[in-house]
Amino acid sequence: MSENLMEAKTTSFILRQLERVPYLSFFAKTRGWPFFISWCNRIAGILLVVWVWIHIYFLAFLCTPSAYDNNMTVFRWAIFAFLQWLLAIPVIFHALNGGRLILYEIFGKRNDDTMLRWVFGLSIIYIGLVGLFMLLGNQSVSPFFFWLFILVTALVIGYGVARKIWKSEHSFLWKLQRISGAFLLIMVPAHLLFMHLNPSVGMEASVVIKRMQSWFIKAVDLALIVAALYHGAYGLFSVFSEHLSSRILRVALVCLIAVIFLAFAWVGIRLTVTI
Amino acid sequence: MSGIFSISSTIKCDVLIIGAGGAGLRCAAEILEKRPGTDIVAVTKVANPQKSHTQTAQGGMAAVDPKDPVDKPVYHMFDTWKGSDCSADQNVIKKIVESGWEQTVWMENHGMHLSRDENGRVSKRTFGGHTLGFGETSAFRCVFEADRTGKGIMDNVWGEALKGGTSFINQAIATELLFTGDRCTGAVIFREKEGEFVVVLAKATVLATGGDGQIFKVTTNCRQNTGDGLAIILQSGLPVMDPEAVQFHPTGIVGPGILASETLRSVGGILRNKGLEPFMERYAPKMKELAPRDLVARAIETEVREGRGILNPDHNIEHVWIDLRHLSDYIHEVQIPEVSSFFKKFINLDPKKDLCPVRPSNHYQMGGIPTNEFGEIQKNSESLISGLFAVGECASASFHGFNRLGTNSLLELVTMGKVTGEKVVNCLDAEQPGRPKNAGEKTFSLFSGFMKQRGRDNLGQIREEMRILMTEKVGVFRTEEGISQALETLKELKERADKAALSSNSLIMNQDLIQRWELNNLLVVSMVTAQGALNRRESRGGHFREDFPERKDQFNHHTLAYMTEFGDVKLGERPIDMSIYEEKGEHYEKFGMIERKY
Amino acid sequence: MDGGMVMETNYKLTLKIERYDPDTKESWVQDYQLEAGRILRFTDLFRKINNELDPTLAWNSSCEHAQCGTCAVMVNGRPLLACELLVENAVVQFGTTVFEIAPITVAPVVRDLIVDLEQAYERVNQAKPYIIKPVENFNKGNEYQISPRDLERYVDATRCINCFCCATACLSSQKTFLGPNAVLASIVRLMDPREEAKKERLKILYSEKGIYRCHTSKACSFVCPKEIDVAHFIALAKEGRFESEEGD
Ligand SMILES: Cc1cc2nc3c(=O)[nH]c(=O)nc-3n(C[C@H](O)[C@H](O)[C@H](O)COP(=O)(O)OP(=O)(O)OC[C@H]3O[C@@H](n4cnc5c(N)ncnc54)[C@H](O)[C@@H]3O)c2cc1C
Ligand code: HEM
Ligand code: HEM
Ligand code: SF4
Ligand code: F3S
Ligand code: FES
Repeated sequence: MSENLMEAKTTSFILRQLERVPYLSFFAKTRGWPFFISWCNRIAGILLVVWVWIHIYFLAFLCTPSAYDNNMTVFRWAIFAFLQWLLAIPVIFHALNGGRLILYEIFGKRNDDTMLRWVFGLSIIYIGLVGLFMLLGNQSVSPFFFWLFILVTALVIGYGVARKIWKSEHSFLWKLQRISGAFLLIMVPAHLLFMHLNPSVGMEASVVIKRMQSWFIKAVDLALIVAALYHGAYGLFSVFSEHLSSRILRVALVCLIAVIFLAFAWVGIRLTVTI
Repeated sequence: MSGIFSISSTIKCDVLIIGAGGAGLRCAAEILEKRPGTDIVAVTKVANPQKSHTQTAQGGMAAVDPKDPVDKPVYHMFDTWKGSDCSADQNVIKKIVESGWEQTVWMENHGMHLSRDENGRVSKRTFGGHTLGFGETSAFRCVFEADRTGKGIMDNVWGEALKGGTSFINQAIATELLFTGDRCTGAVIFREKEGEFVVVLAKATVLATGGDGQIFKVTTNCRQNTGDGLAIILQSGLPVMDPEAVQFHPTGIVGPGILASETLRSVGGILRNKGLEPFMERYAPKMKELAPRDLVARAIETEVREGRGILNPDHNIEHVWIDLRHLSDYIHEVQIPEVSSFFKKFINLDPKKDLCPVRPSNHYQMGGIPTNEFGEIQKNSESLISGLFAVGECASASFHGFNRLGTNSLLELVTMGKVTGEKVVNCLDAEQPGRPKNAGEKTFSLFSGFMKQRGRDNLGQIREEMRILMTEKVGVFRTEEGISQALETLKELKERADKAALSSNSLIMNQDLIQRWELNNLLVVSMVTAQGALNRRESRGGHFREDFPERKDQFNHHTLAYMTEFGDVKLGERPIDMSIYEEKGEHYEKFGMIERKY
Repeated sequence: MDGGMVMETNYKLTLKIERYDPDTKESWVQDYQLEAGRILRFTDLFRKINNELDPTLAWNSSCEHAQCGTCAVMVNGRPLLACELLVENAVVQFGTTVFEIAPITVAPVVRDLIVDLEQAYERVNQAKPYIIKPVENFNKGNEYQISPRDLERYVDATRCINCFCCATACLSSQKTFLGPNAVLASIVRLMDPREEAKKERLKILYSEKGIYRCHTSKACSFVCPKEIDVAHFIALAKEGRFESEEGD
């Protein structure tokens, strides 16, 4: 072991630089990078849950477009624009890393070093791309074709995962979380990218409402919200139940999470259907 | 004092097993198989049975496969007999050897992950001393689980015992056996974590406490092998057999004492002294490094004694070198990768570039608690004590006589464990014994004695001095003079220990207290070992007297040693069973008092 | 004399050991300064402390050559076997001569560095580390035939010594997770062709305390002193490998 202990388990240049950072080096030396990344994944997941809640809250203002637009002006301030850009970090990181986990756990792709490098590389490209779009500020794409293409890809990937694990004796809920994860892997990054094609796409109530009149976009949004909320709810449950060994507390936790998420689902779905 | 010294509870059970190592738990598994639901309590000193010493055995287990076209049980019996230097009991040899394969299959069928050959059958390899045709060629007789056969056995029997519902008392020591008349009715157990004394009453008690290697400074044995079982037996007025029969492995890695296998020498490793002289040329001009184990061990010890050893300042142990630097990369990487890695891991040396320090290391105790071929403990050479059994390294049936063949110990554990288990089942219809009035008295007076002392001596120091003394005077070489000195010094050490204060009088997980108790046992076992060695004015197997280098017929018997008062050793004898020879069956002539020459 | 020279180096070390006294329920960190040769193991250091500085320091070990898994402790935050960590390697690996030593976190501390492994083992016992029900052996009185290639697939998992380093390092909580090593013990028997009770085993695996609590943080594989890729075996379970095996 001694030799093994000494040689860092990763060979990547970036990782070696990161290992010099005081706090990170502790993890790197005592638990390994995948451990650190799992923590990041968890924190990103929880951030996303919070974001989705806030997000649905603000979207609810679409019923009164002026209020929505009013709110949105805030998001056009440089600082909030910057925060929006930062949101790309947890989104893409959690998405790609989630994808890596699915490959590792379900498809037997155990070459983690390579995959971690891909995760890092693709994340940076994606985050840069989002920033670039935000700065350029006017691409035009037909929402229908964009989403048709995205939705089909997402469904195919989700189906692939479903097929692989369907017959196993895993709990149904766990399977759904992995399937929804795979589905979101395409959907969420695409959604974020789409919203930054140009500022009006997501910021102007009239544009948004117009788009959402289409039954197809409605369907896309419904799929997105159901998948995201379910996935997030199960994720939260899984994180918290780890620290609750009592059965009663566990049941209480399930109820609490269910109520909160159903409330958000109700708001979101009603909005999408009625608008 | 009496306040903290009381029995906090009494547990009643069918069988009490003291020592949950390979032997003890094989016995438990057998009992549970024969009589499911038997209430067994198994006690172990370590944190969990899996931490027992059996876990560390590497090489393998000897067993003659009846499907083997060339090997026969009689060859194995002969090898064992010859190896023992004609001092093993032939009824036991026959019994163990003949059930070897059956027990291997039992192990496999119950889940041991034995290594396989291309056909998916259990594979076998050769091992020193195992031959075909009475010494003609090497036999492939050793089954193994890679380099962790002991672990395979341990995991397996622990699992079976657990499955059958055995209750384990871990991290606890048995301090005293309980008797009602001539019948053993259980034991007093001290639970270290809770700091509590409990009485376990049982219809049958099995001792399986393992070896006593810690009496020597350099040993391959684990930290818990302090000869407790032998000490408790002696304390109860019962004998131990052949304590002087101790096996030393010529090349232990200095410091940790870890075994550096014979392969190092067979692939061409050269032993060198301080001046880097390849000294084996002087001791065995023809065979050199490949001379038998005991000869090599003695050569190394002579070099050290005559001032040609090297002192390792880290561990404070003198040693010689084994030189592997001249061997090709192929040999290093393909033939000795594991042992090489031990040098790297435990002393940070690269055998390709550095000289590696080795010294003979205590390895195994052939003697032990005398039992008959069913594991029943003997009071003297004729009569038994009822309800009390012993198996494993702490027992001596005697399968190994004065020198054990590699791989024979694991075989003994599993076969004798089984045989004893069967015997134990027979006494389960007896009535549940009551608790003797004086239960715990001996333990309490011992423990309170430890706690009363106020002397300033260092107990750790005393233990180290004792272990060095035993290594030097009662180790590989023994002489009248040396042993007598050792006996004197042991008495002094005992006196010093008896005055030394403990660092703390807490009962909960007080390591100092436990080690103090162990020191007592170590001193007791050292004492009888030295006395046995003094009395045996001959050389036989692992016991080598420089002043009497030959084996002598007048000593063709086992030693029985009794000691109830420290230092007051009484010796007796037990004849060697020669039933194979006496039955005059085929090949019986091979089982006479033959010469041990290889 | 070559070889001998290298051995003379000494290190001045500071061990900051977390201590706990069950009698007073006090815990504190105690500093020990000691000089030690380069090839002493940490268990040797503890013994040195006992013999020269402080006989009250309690620690645990058994085999002292990395075979039994009794001596696991945390050194500067990393769970490892004290009996295979040489002073010299520790200095290189951690880049310091100051070592913070703490008990592993899998069970309550009994005293100083000794934890109640019995409680930790409770979780291994729940995973049933034996063959629950053997399949019928058509070759009565003989061994089962297992091809070396089949054995190869799980033999690594049989090497676990239950040192609980992995469980200490794991991202998941000790309270609700059986732990990597316990799960591994069950997986061994799922992969073992001699086990009949696969359904029961899957139930253990897919229980609330089973693999759902693993997030593939792989700290287990990273710290395992036996270099077992524990995460790989757990992932096999997640993949649903074992059911499909039973199917055909
Ligand atoms: C490095 C090494 C390699 C070996 N390799 C081989 C090999 O390849 N082949 C072979 O055949 N043999 C080998 N041996 C020998 C063999 O391993 C041992 O002889 C055997 O394991 C002893 O088993 P046991 O069950 O008798 O005792 P152990 O496994 O030592 O078990 C003793 C048990 O008793 C407990 N105990 C002790 N005292 C007390 C007490 N006072 N109260 C309560 N419990 C107590 C201990 O905690 C332990 O659980 C090897 C030995 C060593 C050291
Ligand atoms: C974008 C595509 C996504 C993918 C591929 C994905 C994938 C995954 C996977 C595989 C896990 C399991 C990891 C584990 O067991 O530790 C997971 C956990 C989780 N996800 Fe996602 N996810 C995605 C999006 C989201 C979104 C949008 C949210 C928020 C609503 C979210 C919230 C969570 C949470 C809270 C967890 C639990 C984290 C944990 O257990 O440590 N995920 N995700
Ligand atoms: C800052 C970037 C984002 C902007 C500007 C934005 C904007 C929008 C808009 C305008 C909608 C309305 C529906 C539509 O137009 O199709 C919407 C829907 C949605 N968004 Fe976002 N979004 C952003 C990021 C995200 C992220 C990161 C997530 C996931 C974690 C997310 C999850 C959702 C969901 C689930 C819906 C559907 C809500 C419903 O149907 O009620 N969004 N988003
Ligand atoms: S898997 Fe490795 S780290 Fe975990 S208990 Fe087993 S040997 Fe120790
Ligand atoms: S460290 Fe823990 S999270 Fe899973 S991969 Fe290993 S069990
Ligand atoms: S003491 Fe056995 S592994 Fe360290």
